[in-house]
Amino acid sequence: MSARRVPWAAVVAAAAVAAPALALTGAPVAVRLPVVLVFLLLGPGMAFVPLLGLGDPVAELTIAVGISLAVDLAVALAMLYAGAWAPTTTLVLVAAVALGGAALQRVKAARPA
Amino acid sequence: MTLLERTAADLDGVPAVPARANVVAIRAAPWLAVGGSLVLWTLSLPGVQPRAMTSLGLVSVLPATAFAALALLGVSFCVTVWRRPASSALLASHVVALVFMLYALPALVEPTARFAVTWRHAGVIQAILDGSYRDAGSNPYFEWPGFFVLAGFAAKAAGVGSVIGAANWAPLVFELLYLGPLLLILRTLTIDPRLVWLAVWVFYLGNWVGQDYFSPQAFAYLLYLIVLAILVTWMRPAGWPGSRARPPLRAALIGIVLFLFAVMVVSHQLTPFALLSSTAVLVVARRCGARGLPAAMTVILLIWLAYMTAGFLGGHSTEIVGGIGHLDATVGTNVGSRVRGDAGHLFVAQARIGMTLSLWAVAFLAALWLRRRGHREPAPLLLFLAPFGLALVQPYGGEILLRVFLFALPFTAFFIASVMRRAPLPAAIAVTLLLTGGFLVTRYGNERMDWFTRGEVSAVDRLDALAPAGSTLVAWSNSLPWEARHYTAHRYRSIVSSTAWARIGALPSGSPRQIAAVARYMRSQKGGAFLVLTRSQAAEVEITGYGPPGSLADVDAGLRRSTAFRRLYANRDASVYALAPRPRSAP
Repeated sequence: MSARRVPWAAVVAAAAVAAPALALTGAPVAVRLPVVLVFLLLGPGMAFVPLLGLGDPVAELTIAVGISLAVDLAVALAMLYAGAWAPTTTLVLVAAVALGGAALQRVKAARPA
Repeated sequence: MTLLERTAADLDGVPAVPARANVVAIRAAPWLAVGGSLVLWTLSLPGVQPRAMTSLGLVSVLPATAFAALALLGVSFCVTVWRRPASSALLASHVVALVFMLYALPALVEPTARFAVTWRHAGVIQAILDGSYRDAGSNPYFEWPGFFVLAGFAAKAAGVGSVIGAANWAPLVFELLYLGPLLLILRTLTIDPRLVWLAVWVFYLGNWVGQDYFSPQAFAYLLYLIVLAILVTWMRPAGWPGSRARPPLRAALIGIVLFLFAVMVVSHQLTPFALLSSTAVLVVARRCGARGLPAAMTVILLIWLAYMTAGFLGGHSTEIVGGIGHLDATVGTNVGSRVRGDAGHLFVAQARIGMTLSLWAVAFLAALWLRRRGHREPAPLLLFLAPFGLALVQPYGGEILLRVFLFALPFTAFFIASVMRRAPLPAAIAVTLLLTGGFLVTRYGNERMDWFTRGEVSAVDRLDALAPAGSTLVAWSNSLPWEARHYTAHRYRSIVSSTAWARIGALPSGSPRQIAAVARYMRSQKGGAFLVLTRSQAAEVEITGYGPPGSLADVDAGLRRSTAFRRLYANRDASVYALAPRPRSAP
């Protein structure tokens, strides 16, 4: 299955809504942990990487992991140094970044070639 | 079957159309081997008794069925690579099974997180997230905090109180994450997909240095591999064979490379220098067309060093620049100081040196051989050699050669696999089995002192509860599960690492004179001192030669007899002591 055939914009958007929602509602760890960790590992990256048009699932997933972890870390570090450290708020901000990327994918897909 | 696979299969003389009756068996056999080896492995582990380990480490308590499982998987992988037009899914399943068997082993047989440093890293996360690090003074963990902030954020967001419970799974997770960039890198070095998987196989069998535990190095190494994958895949200069990314994609990828590099810079001291040197080498050799990258990376690095780590660098300038050019000192601290201890540990240490030097030697000779045969891709040799420059600059606390091995490993593995690929099947199987045995000895050779029992953890918990903030916590040696709580509230000291060790270590174990010397050492500590002795420290003392077998038990007995100490807590695996109040002298 090609990574391009996965509707990444929709998947990322769903995960970006679900992960903060589970954190905010205090969902059981058994549910919250896998959703949040998978989102943090792939969500922000797969929000943007399909825009590159790499056409190779291994390349897309690999670079997405790198970008995701970098975005997670950058947002968390910025919150810490700003004196505004709060894990759930940080998660909401990361989700907002991912939603922005997913929206860009939709805009690009809707644009005539 | 792709054209490349068909070409590779034809080269091996695989029959184009096997007999129909054999087709099902031929296709099913390797899958059955993967499944069978996993089942056999899993069934082997419940009987493993870590307490029975000798100085050879985990290999001394693995049952024969565990070795049989690894051998079955190794033979199946080699046969699959050599004799079959194998699919990537089949080869990948072998590799993933191998990674699970080799790297999840401690998580499956040990009750708590291994490595003293893992526990310290948990304490650093807590200190950063609760803000107590601001009063902790100069500490490299707090000046390169990226990984700890990321891990703390992920744990808290996922609703997990501490990372300790999952820390033993970190090697498995990191190694699986390394697979993607490894495949990308290796696919640019050869058109033979089976050579790619063979190199990945060798990488996992050769990664004995254990830098994939819950640590900034493991995280930074992932970023290192991803950036190298981007550079060798999409940053080919104009005129270089193979596809070259179009300008908008190149610009985006350069931005991603710099973003990942910046994240690496805030997370780890050494890896940015390794990546910078590798990138510079690729640019100088005209294998990377993004010629401004080294300069941009240098600027990012200098900005962080100048503005965020000045306190630490200023206080440690002698240690940092004092090692430049002192290769003899680097070799001494990296090799000489490690080859000591009891007979089992000496064997492990020599196996590590032998395995490292053998892999490097074979890889280098293979690189020269490939070049003579017309392999003109310069990237693997450049990236194999680039990390060695680090050893000229820094001993890195006696670990630089381990890190050089790690940074060069993807390319070491590629060259070794290139030789293996041309060898007959029995030779390849023999090499695989040899590397597997070597991995188990070298990787888990210190396990007797690296693993911790629940009793040891309970004793440290008790110590944490008893010791008031500002006190000094003292251990005999360094291997124990402490520093995970109140990291900044205490000073942590080990007697074998102190200047007092020369005198204390020279006295008979547990003798009144030695106990009196320990008492004097503890009285010299600030804030009141507490002493904790554990099974893992006893193992460390014996394995690494700080004392003869049973010497820490003698110390424990001497402390119990002494009126200078009072025992606050004890269980089967640990004791906690404090200094007894001094009797008042008569008026």
